[in-house]
Amino acid sequence: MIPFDFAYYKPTSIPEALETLDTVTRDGQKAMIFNGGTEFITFARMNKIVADAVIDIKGIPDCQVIEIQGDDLIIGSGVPLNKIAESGLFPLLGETVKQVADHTSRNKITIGGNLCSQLMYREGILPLLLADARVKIAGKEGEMTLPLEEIFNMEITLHPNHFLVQIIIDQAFANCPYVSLKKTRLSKIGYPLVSMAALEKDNRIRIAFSGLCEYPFRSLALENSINETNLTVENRITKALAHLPSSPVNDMLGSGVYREFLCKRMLEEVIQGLMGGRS
Amino acid sequence: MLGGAFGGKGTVQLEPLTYLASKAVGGKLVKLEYEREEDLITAPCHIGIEATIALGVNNEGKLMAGRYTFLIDSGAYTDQAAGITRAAAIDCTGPYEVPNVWCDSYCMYTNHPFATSFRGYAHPELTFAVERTMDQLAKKLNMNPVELRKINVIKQGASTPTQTYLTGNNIGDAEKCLARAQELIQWEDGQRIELGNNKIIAKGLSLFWKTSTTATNAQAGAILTFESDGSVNLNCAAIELGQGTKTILAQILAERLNMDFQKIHVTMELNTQYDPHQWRTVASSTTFLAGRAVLAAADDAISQLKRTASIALQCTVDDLEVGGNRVYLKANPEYGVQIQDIAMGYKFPNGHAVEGQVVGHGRYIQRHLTPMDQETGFGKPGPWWSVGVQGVEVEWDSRDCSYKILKAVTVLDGGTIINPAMATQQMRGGMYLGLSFASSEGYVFDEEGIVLNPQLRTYQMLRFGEEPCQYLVDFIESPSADGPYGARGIGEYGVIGVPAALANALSTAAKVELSTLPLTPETIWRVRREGEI
Repeated sequence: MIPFDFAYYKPTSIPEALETLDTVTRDGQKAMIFNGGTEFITFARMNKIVADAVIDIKGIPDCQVIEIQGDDLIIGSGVPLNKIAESGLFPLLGETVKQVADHTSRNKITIGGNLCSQLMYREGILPLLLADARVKIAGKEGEMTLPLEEIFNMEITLHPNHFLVQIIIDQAFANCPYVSLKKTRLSKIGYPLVSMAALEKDNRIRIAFSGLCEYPFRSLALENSINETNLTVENRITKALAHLPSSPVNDMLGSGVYREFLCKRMLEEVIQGLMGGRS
Repeated sequence: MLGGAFGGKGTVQLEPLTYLASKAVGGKLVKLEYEREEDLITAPCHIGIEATIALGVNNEGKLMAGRYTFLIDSGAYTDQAAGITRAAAIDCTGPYEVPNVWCDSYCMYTNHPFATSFRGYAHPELTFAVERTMDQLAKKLNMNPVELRKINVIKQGASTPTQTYLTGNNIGDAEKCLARAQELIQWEDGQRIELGNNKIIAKGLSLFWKTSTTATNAQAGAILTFESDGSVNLNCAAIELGQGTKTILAQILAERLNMDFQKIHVTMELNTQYDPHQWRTVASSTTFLAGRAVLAAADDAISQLKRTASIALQCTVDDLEVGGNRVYLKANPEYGVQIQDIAMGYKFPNGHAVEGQVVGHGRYIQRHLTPMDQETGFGKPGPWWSVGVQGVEVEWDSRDCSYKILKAVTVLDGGTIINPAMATQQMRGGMYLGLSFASSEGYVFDEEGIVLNPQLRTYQMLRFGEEPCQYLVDFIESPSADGPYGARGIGEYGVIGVPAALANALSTAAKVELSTLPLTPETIWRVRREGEI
């Protein structure tokens, strides 16, 4: 049971949403953007999140878009994970988000919600990091389109009165050869010990990780090691692991040592899968 | 109806608290609800165990001695863990003939959530320890694990650790179970097969037994009343949890009365104020105790029906038979009377009425049970032992130690199986339960004993879709002279041998000795790594 009262708003346009956000926070109240609601409900119930108001942006048409426009694939932040997977428009993203939670939850969990999750996984971001994705943010100043990297460093950071409207992906990435892997403690359903998304573009492997460290990441130094085709696969991997941004997570789901072991196995699979082991 | 309580309702914890709450407000209706997290850490749970076993064999592989030490984690309070500690000692050897036995079974207080009964009542836990030891012993003797079991399996004429003498009536045939289980799991085709591509098929077996350690005066009762259409109401305090006990009792009654099953009405709700006393609905004892009570009640009703019929038919009681909703002359079956015309008494054509309604009553109480002797531990704790063999086949990945469960096999001898479809389903459910806690479940405690995973998100159970690709179940029926139509007990048994069988299979696959649960890929990987260092 959620132990506090809160107001619920469902604007039908971006200006209306921004105005609601402004009005609510002007009085010093705390407002949260609400999408699928799975995380809000789960954490509010346990007193880990408190809000005076939630602003549900699923009613804004821009947030529900999922279509190709010119050279770009546009996905609204309010699109549920299952819809993304079923669309087949970006197979790597579809495969990656299909690994999040369970099927029923994925009918509610949105890509925006997954990216802005307070949990450390945010697996939906991995293919977006690989595809040099851009994001459209709405604020009082107007709508801004930025590279994802500008608002992401370990987690998404937005100005309190801004919200994520859409994700924009260059179509060229949507059909690259790819590998999507997830290892867990035991069950297919559950948080990842290590989640890996990889694609090959212009003869180069790109890789991003989740679950291994305390935040999702893509490291160019690590990628360079993986792409050093003059080295053996084993040596490439050893070199790559020296570039982890922090030590592997050690928690009750799995130890850091086991995560690192899995990571090595998965990197082998990625290299085999994408370059067929050719050097 | 489907479901079960699996032991968790064998205790009372919510009930006294709710009673106190209601009392505090003058008897008003109150409702007590636990949130999931509260339920996981406040309400009682499943015991933990640490076991040490030493077995001695002669050159032929015959067990000569066994020393068993069990430490049962009871948590902060003693509930059923004390009884479980005792049950572990009573059956400590597993279904093997061990001439010299020493067992120390300790119920331990710890700063963990407190434990109550869980399906199997010490037996899944002791079987895990015993069967892992037997597999390791077989390896040491360079013997096939099945061979070692065959040499030592306990048979009629032997006695249990507490010196209960075993006859054809009070124990099933474990040897036949073993043979059939081997067939079902295709043991002879190989216990460890490398498929290539890092995949290995491996099989594990376990032999198990259990008696139900009821109170020595445990009993059941049954009352039958009749309707004016000749149908029967069966009133018995066995609780329907989804195990199908009411159906079984109706079947037994229909069989004895030789009456259409559809004409039996079983009361589902219970009230201790007017239902006959039933010890409890636990310990796989309900079909046995309540079944015998129902038979006694049926015989009582039959004698009343015959008495009334003998008046109506003007003959002696001995000449009559009951069947097909009638009471009739054995010598001339066409000559008889409908049950509906005599169940409420018999009215003569001139209006005179005799005898009145039939009310059948029956009871059954355990026979010759004794507590364990203070000095020796000897005694007769239960009326019979059901036995069985379970097997698990896995496909194991040698790269990351992950695995998939392909087959789960149960062959059980629980005497006559009264409802094979329900019994099969009960075995499947038990196997799933055992595979879940053996592969995935367990509290994670921090250094202060605080539970870190009191949610189903983090206390992970096997999900739908992760159950074995195939459940294979069969029964060997060695009837019991005491049980209703030869039945012994079978309710808990599906869970008992499965954790051991899974651990045996994975130990064979990974070529390491796995002795802790749960068996996650990481735990297997760690044991293998330790072996390599």
